[in-house]
Amino acid sequence: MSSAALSLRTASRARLPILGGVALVVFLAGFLLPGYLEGGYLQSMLNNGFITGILALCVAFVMHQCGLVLFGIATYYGLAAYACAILVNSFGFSAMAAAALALLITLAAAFLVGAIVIRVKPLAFMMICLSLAELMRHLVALPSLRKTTGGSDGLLFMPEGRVFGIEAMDLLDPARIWPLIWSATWVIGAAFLIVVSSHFGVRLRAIKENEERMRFSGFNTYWPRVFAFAGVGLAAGVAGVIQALASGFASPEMFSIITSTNALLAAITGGVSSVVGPVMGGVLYTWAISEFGAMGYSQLFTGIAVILVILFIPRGLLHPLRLLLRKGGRA
Amino acid sequence: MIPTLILNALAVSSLYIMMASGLALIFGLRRVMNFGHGAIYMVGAYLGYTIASGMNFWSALILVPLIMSVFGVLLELLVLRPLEKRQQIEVALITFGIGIVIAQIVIRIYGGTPLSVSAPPLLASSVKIFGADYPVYRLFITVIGLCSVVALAVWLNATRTGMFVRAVSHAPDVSSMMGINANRLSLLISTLSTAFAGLAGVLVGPYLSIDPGMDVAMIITCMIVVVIGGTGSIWGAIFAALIFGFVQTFGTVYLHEISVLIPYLMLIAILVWRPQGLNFGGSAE
Repeated sequence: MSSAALSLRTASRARLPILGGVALVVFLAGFLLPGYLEGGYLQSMLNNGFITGILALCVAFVMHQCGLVLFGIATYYGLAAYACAILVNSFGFSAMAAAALALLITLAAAFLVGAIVIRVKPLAFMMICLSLAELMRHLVALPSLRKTTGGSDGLLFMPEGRVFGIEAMDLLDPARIWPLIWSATWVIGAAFLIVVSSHFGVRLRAIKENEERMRFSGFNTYWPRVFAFAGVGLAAGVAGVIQALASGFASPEMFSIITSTNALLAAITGGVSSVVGPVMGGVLYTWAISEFGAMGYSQLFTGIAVILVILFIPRGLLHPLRLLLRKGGRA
Repeated sequence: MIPTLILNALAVSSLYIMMASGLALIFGLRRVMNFGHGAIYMVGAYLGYTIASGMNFWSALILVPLIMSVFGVLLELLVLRPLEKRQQIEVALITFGIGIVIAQIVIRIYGGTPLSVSAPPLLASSVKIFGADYPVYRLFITVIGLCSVVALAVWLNATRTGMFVRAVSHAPDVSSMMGINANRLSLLISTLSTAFAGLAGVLVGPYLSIDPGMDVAMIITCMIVVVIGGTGSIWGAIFAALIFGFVQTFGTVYLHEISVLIPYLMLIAILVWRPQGLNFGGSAE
C-alpha cells in the first residue's frame, strides 16, 4: 500500500519517508520479477495486466480529478500503437523515434479531442468518447487505407534500433519488455500523484465540485481540464506504444469497446482514488478474462462484472479496507 | 436515383427514430441513458426471426413488441426504480453491462452467423416510383415509422398522460409536488421504449441483416443521434435521426467507404458549433 493514497497530504508527514522507502524497495524488486517467472504465460499475462492497469490509471485519474467517466480510453491507446507501427513501416523510423513521435501525435490528438469534449455535459462526454473509439476502429479498417493501416487484419511491423538501450527486436520477449512496462507504470502513477497534490490538482478537483463557483471566482475552468485530458491521453498512448512494441502488432481490436470497458472496470474495481488500486484491478481483470476467455465467455464475464462491480463495489475493493485502516477517516 | 435515395434514407431514419425517441423518453423521465437499448433491439430482431420462420412475419410484427414490452417492465422494476438514488452514470453503466450480457446470451442461442428474414409475400414486390422500381417493404418501414412519430406526437401533446410526461421531463420536482406519479409514468415509458426497440428489430430483419454486431452498431448510432439532438430532447432526437439517416444513405452512395466516418465527423462538427446539441423545444436537463 506504499502509495495507496492518491492525495499525498492525507498521509501524515511522519509516514512519508517510510512509505517512500517501501515504494523504492518494491520498485527495485519489480525488476527481478522476470527471473522468478521465467518468461512464458505468467509473464505475458502480467505484462498485459499492467498495460490494462495503466489504462485504468488514466480512467481513474479523469474520474477522480474531473468527475468524468472516460469510456473511450482505447482511442489514445490504439492511436499511439498505430502511429508507432505506421511510422516504422511507411516512414522507416527507428523504434525510439517512432515511439516518441507516436506519443507526440497522441498528445496532440488528445488535446484536440479534449478541447471539444470538455465543453459538453458529463453524459454526452462519455458517449462521445466511446463513439470516437468506434470512429478509429472503422478508420483503421478502411479498405482504401489497407496499405498503410493493414485493414481489418491489423498491422504487423518490425521496429529497428534500440529503445532505452534494449534492442527493439528483443522487446518481443515478454521478459525483456517487462522493465519498460514496470517503469512506465511507476512513472505514470508518480506523475498522477504529483499532479494530484499540486496546485493544478486542487484546481481540477475544485472545478469538479462546483464548476460555476470556480468560474465566478475568476478561475479558468476550461483549460485545466483540457490539459488534464491531454495528459491522460498521453499516458494511455504510452501503454499503446509499449503494447505495440511488445507484440510488433497494432490491431483494430485495440479500439474496441471491450478494451475501454475493461480499463473502466479495472479502475472502478481497484478504486479510482488510489494509484495502486487501478493497476491491481488491471492485473485482476486480465487474469480473469484469460480464464473465462479460455472457455469462450470473456465478453459475458465483462458484462456480468460491470453489473456486479457497479452494484456492489462502486468505490472499489480497497475502499472498505482503507476505511478500516483510518478508523472511519475521510471517506 | 435521387428519389430512390431519399426513400431509402427515410426508411433508415424511421428505424433510428423508433430507437432514439425511446431512449430520449426514458432519459427525460429517469435521467438515465439506457445503454442496453441496442441489445433490446437485437433481441427483437432475433425473436422476430424465430417467430417469422415459425409462424409468419405479421405475427412477429405484433408479438415481438408485446414480448419486448415485458423487458421494459423488468427494466423499470428491476433496474431503474431500485437504482433511482444512484448516480445517472452508474445506472447507465449497469444498463451497458446488462446489454452485453443479453447480447452474449443471444449469440449463445443463435450462433454468430448473420441471419436473414424474407419479407412477407404481400410486401415482397416492388412498385414504380419516379420511373424506378422500389421495394414495397421499405415503404412499409417508412409508413410505420411515420405513423409511430405521429402517434407519439399526438400522445405527448394532446393527451393528459402525454402532458404529464412532458411535465416530468421538464421539471421533475415541481411535477411531483403537483401530484404526478413519476414511477407509474416511467413504467409506461420504459414499456413503450422497449416495445419500439422490438418493433424496430422486427422491421430491420427483412431490410438489413441480423448479425451479432447489430446491438453495438445501433447503440453507437443512437448515442450519436441523441447527443446531436441534445440529450433528452425528444424532437431533437427525432430530427437528428432523420439527418443521420439521410447523411448515412447519401454518404454511402457518393462518398463510398468514407461514409462510415461521416456520422462521427458530423457529431464533432455539431458539438464544436453547439456543445449542447441541436436541442429543439428544450431538453430534459
